[in-house]
Amino acid sequence: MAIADDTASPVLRRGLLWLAAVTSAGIGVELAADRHWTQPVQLVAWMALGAIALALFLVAVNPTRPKLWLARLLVIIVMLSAVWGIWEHVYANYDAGGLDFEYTNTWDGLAESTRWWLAVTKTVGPSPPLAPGALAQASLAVLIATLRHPMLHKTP
Amino acid sequence: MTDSLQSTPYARCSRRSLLVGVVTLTGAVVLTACSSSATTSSPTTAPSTPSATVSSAPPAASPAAAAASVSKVNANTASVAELQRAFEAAGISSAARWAREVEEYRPYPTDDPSFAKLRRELAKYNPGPGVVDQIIATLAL
Repeated sequence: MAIADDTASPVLRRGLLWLAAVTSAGIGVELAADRHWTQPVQLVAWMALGAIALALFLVAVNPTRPKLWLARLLVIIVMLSAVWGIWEHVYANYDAGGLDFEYTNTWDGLAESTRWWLAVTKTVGPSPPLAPGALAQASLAVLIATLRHPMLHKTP
Repeated sequence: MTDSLQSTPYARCSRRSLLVGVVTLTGAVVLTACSSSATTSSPTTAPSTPSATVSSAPPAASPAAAAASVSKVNANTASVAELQRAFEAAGISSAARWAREVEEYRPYPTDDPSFAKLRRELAKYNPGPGVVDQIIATLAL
């Protein structure tokens, strides 16, 4: 089928934007419920959420070529911040390992790889390691929604 | 080709769009719930004993008794170093780390002598039995 006859693309594009919007709303509720603002570094997640919202707006409302490129830039930054957030969560768990009563007396004696494994699996610490990945998921949905967007090929 | 894409009949797809919207919404909610389930489950650690014994009569065991004998520091205004010293004097292990946690979750409401907020936050770290009581026994508002 020729691209010109493809009626599924607009629907899929709109669906991806909905996916990003609903995921972002869920992340916002979760961050608020978790009071994700007790440390300055935790505000990064809120800024990332704002960036996704802005990118969504740019793609969904009167998109133009510059707006689409700006949206792409924003969501790529958010994806990088999500990777950093995963690292932050794992490190926070690692740092808190000695507070867990099951490891208070043994934490320092554990092998380094074992301690990191316990942090990655959230056996110790309070931070969900993969939760920032939801930001990357929402960003990826926005990014894919810009691929082969008609406005990118429109001649001025 | 571009013109053809731009003139795609959105209106014809309204029902389909609605269906896609519902499906993606459901998927996103499930994904979000999965990614955050660990967070919501973390506070399930039972909080320590209620506040009646907080300031005057901590559990009779050794470290808590030691805590009762040391001077208290203000939970809202003490520096991390002061908190750490108070915790060390009370015999609390990982005193420096706990001091940082107490400082992180400020401010503590002055009308809550039971330190319910602090208890809730510290419970996330799965502390040993009595540790939270020991910490709170060294704090004042």
